[in-house]
Amino acid sequence: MLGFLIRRSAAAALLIFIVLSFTFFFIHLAPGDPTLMLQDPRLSSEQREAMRSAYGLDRPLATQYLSWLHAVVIDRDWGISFVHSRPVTAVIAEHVSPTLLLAAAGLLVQFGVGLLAGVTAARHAGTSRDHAIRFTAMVFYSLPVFWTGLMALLLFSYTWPLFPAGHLHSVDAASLPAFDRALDILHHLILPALVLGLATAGGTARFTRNSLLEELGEDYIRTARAKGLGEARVVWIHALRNAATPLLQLFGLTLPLLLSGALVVEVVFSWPGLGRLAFDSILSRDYPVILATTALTGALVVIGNLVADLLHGVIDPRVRQ
Amino acid sequence: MSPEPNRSATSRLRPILVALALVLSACQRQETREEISTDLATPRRGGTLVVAISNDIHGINPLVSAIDTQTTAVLDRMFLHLFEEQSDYTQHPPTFEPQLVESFEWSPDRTRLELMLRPDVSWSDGVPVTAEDVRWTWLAQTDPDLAWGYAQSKENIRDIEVIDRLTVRVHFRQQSPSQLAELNEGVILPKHAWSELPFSQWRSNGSWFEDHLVVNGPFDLQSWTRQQQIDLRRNESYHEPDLPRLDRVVLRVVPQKQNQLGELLAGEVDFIEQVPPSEVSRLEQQGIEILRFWARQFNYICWNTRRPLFTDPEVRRALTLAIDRQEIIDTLWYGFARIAVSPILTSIWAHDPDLQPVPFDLEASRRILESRGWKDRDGDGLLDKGGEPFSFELITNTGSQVRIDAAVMVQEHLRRAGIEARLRQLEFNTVISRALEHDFDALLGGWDIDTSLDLTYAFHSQSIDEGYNFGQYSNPEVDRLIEAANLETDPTERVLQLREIESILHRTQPYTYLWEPQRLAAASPRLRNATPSPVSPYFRLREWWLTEAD
Repeated sequence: MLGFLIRRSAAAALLIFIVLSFTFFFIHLAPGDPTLMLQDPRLSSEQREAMRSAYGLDRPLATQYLSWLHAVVIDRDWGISFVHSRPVTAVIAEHVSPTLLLAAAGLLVQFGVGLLAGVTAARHAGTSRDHAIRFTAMVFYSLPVFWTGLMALLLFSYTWPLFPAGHLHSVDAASLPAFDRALDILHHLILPALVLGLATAGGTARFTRNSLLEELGEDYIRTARAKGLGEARVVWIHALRNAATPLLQLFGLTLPLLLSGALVVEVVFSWPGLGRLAFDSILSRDYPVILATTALTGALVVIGNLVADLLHGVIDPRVRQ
Repeated sequence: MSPEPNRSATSRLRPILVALALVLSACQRQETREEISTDLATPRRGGTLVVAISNDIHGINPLVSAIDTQTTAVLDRMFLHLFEEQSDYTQHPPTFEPQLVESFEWSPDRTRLELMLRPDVSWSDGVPVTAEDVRWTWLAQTDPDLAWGYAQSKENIRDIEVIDRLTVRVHFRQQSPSQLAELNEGVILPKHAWSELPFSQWRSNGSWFEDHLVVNGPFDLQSWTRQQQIDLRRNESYHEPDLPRLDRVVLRVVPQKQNQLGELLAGEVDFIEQVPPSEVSRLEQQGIEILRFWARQFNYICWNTRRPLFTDPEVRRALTLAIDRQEIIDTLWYGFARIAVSPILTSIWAHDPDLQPVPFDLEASRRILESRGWKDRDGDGLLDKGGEPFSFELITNTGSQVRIDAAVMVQEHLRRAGIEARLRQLEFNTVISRALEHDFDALLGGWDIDTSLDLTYAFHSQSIDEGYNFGQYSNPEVDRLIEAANLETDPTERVLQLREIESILHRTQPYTYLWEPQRLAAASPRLRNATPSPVSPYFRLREWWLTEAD
């Protein structure tokens, strides 16, 4: 198990290194220059150069790459954001928690609703209930997140003000006691998490249904039923455990997807997060932030896959061999 | 285009390629003010104003972080300038009302300026604002290690000398019409609080300034949740009596325009700096007040004058004649814009009111082109000459829907004139890069400009290699006149020079001047005395007030 982990981690690190190196050259070679955004067009060429040198952009690209690599690998220093004038790690740290909160809540909705709907559809396969679930799942799966987001706001914030219209907290949250603050954040979280989670819950539901239907046709299920076990136990314990393997892989693969889906939700719901930070930093050519967010997303993809593999191993001992 | 590299500093707006802009002429603004004043009760003190903003600020050190309109607008509420620039530039050059300065006196040759500072202004930690702050700020602004993005504005200042605790003497290299504006660029910073950190470390220590923040403006930073909310509180030590009127100003980051409108209509937000023209009537019907003023912006098509198709000024004029700009304004701006005439905006004092925009006249356009040998010889609907069709690429940036839509309309107008414009949308940085390398045929863009009327940036030939003369326009007469006007201190003389430049740039059409937009700010009914202006969306925020307690 340990050997497996080490092998996978080394491969992952190499992969991230290659992706980052590509990103480094790609963004530096892309048209535009971060200092263009920071200056008066009337700046003289010496002043322009002074600014480029303040950011180390006056050095040859290879030198910039090597010194960046050295800083990241040896000093574990991701540099200073051009736009935010602060260490990149600090900038990213501020944006990670809201994104993780949203992604975690989204996952909860996705798998909570998805599993429930999938299992119900499988148990009642072929009935009108099954059709209704499959149809609804397809609808949610097909609708663009920004649209459902806007509609959710229109209906549940503006027309019937059940939920706040976006944001992480209300205007006066800072003056609330800790518990009320947590409730306030929860209240703000519900709508975006539903929108993010339901978009993917449709896929999960269909996935669960198909996977479960296959299992329900197996002999061991017939045996279980013949033993007189309750239907709920047969489905939720016996069949689902075996149907879960592909679902776990889906979970691992969804992790990074949720982050990219979160960008749209972040914009629509004025939610502070990594997606918006990454997007803004690309537009303003904030190289150090672009590289660090790429590394983080890359790491999440890798970790997501790793988690999927590990969980697979936990459920299915054959994988561990 | 969200990350506009333009900052409209309170003192001066910079010429820069901008995205879309929305918003009123000075006279219209005054009408609105009068309307308000009739139902004004006595201004009330207190309350929390909630403003929706599209982008977060980048930091609180003005020399490092005030690189965009939003950050500048916010920091200008926390730090004072020497003077406050007024937006009264329709009839004469803008005036500068003393802010930190109490009085000032020019030397007879106008190369020295003595500034007497107000004795009653202190930083929020109680330390008085002194002449040392003024000199040290200038040192920071011109420090090569710090490399302030607007250091160019201080080129004409040779030295700032501290005479006594409250008096400084500014030594200029030469007199010029924009001495005060240039001196006033940038806010005054707290020497006693910030001089500990060497200038060379300013760009990497954004948080340090938050920990050492002291202000002298009407508002202080209470808290800042990134990408969420900037909380400004009344600076209790602010020197103007009874100001600011608001207790608190909360700037909520709402990236989507539609959500800003939703929150405004739901009563969660009191002020939006910019609303789309298409929404104006709906908002007005629901009791929202629209505050309009003419933005200091014009949009254009820049012709690359060194490409064979566009070398001839008459051909460029024919292209302008073929474009129905009024239709663009009516369709895309719902009338909240007007046809641009030249790079000297029609709302600026130096503009020649007798100069009319080139009209939309397809026939005249055809006649000119035909006289230049452009005819549809092969019957394919396109003009041709020497076997080559009149066809070129028109580039514009993604992220500005109004520009993309305008480009499509221009394409259609030109098609009717037998000219093919192949549209290409590029990311903003790519557009700028290609523009700087002169690698384009025609470019649809926009400039936000200041009131200095220094046209060097885009029309002097020296800006071809170093500057923003994208279209490589070169006219020795224009060069000479720009240089003269930049030194002329007599407004009467200067206006003549500027009008001559304007007339040449109108006649030779290095650009097709498309439109000048209005900016449309929106205020909830409880907000009073809101005076957004081209100088700042939160101009005189200290005097804004709310009708009811919240």
